[in-house]
Amino acid sequence: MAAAVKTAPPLRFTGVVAEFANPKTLTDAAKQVREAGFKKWDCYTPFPIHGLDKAMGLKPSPLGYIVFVGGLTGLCLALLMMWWMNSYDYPVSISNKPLFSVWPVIPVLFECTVLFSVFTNIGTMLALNNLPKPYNPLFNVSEFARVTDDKFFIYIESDDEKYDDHKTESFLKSIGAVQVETVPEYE
Amino acid sequence: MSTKYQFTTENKTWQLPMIAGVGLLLVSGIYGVIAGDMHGFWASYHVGFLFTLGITIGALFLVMIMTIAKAHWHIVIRRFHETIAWSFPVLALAGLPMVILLFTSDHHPLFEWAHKDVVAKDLILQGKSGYLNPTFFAIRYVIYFFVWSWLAFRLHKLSTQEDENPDPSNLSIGPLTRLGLKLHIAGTGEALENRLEYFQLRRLTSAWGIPISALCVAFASFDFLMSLQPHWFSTIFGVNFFIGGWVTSHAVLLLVALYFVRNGKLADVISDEHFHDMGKLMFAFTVFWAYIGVSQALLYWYANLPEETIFYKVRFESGWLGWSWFLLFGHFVMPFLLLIGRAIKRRKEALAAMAVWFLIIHFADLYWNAMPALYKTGPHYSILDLTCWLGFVFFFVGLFFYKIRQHSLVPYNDIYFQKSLHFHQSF
Repeated sequence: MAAAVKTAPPLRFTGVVAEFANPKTLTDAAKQVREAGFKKWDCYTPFPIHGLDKAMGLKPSPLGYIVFVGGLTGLCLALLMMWWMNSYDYPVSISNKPLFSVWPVIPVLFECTVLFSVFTNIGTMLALNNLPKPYNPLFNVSEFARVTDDKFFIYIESDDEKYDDHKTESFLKSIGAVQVETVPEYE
Repeated sequence: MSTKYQFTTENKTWQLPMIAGVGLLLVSGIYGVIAGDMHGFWASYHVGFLFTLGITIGALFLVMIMTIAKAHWHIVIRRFHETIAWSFPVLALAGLPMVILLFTSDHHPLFEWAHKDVVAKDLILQGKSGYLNPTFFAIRYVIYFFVWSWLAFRLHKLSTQEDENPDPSNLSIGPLTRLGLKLHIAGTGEALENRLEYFQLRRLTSAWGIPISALCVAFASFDFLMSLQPHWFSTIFGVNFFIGGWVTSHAVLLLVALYFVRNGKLADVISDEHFHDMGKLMFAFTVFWAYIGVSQALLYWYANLPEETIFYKVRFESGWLGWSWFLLFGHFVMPFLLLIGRAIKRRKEALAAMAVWFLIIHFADLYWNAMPALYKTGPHYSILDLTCWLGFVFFFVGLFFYKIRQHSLVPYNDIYFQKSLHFHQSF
């Protein structure tokens, strides 16, 4: 990684990252980090771990409610569109059927609801996850590269109210971290 | 044999509902004779019969589909479905009067196409008489119930045998099945391990069982329900009947599972994760029910053929309009909005309330499908509707408890049983 060859002194340290050997120790540690009262912290793992969300005390995602509103918007817009096109803007009588009827419109309503739901879903999901995120100070820690392979990490930000350089490091070690690194940020 | 999962109960647990069921049906019949309303009695009896038939068919299909898809979560609740599906032969007996009346009565209370004087004056019915005639109907009736019963018994037997005797060398299968099993295992590339034989044999049975019994369901729905209005036809109707039964089958499963969790027998076996999945399936299939209903109405609206639109003319332009609205909201809009969230699917009691609602609304759905054929101007309510329905429900609840006591409540020797116990939702 390019970050590893930086020679200039770092501007500041954004926090500490602790490496854990397996999902079990990570989950136990996450529980203790939460109980210690930290707010600005996160876990990084190569794959989803069952029960980690509970250990971290994550709240259920609001995504579903937002998608529901998005779908409802699509439904209403489709209804408006079909009525406007078929019976107001360009009315054509076909085999003497009524200009506007709910039956032929239902597939359009359904499709537009799905379309709007999906777009809302993807957009909101990215926004809630702060994605896309091309840069993260964690990339400056060379050991962190193995997060996509076989290592498990907890990262505590220095912005956290409870954060204290040495205390936090020794705390992470006390709850089973294999090694703890400070996370530097360069110009 | 493990007794941990054995359900022991007094005999009255199954005897009382059974007696109540038979009693209700008998009283209804006697009431029909006294009040001179045999027509009404047979119609109500038919709706009750179709109600239980739909649930039983749904149970059979769920076992087969979950088996062939290797669904691990379903294993802890599989025995309930197998037990429900086991009641096919009894259902065949329950529907027998409908067939016998075709031969003994000139005026069959349900089927207009069996009235010789009506058919003689009706060109359309004459054209259909090659299919809709008593003899062919009886033959089909036998085929349907033979296929369903055979599959249900085989799957039930393979599953319970594995409990009691997991050694596959005890499998009693014919040479042809053994060859099929070998080819199947070779084809899927899975080693012929210990006990995988049971698993693969159930999958093999399901593989050919699904298409054959699906055809039977489609034609049975044409015969039992669609032919009540013999001029009318709908090619999608089989799916319509099928899906109504599926939703209700999930609902019944959920209530049974909750019963065994509540009485402590399976409290540490069936978790909220399993209930979550049952809730998801109930939600999915009630939406699918609406989808099929709309598909039918949409095509009718475009084609505008008198033989087809008569179905909706009767139901939208008479006293039945209220029922139609009730079904739209009760079977789709309300369950959709209530079940769409995650929180309710993880609350067993709320799900159980929805399950009870689905039992009621499925009855309303069948009532709305069947009754307007006989009462074209509007609903003709009778106490028999309720007593016949409850009679069937009670009787089959009793039958379920009668059978469930005889075997373990869960297939604990299934090779994926442990996986099923530790099942978790992925989000």
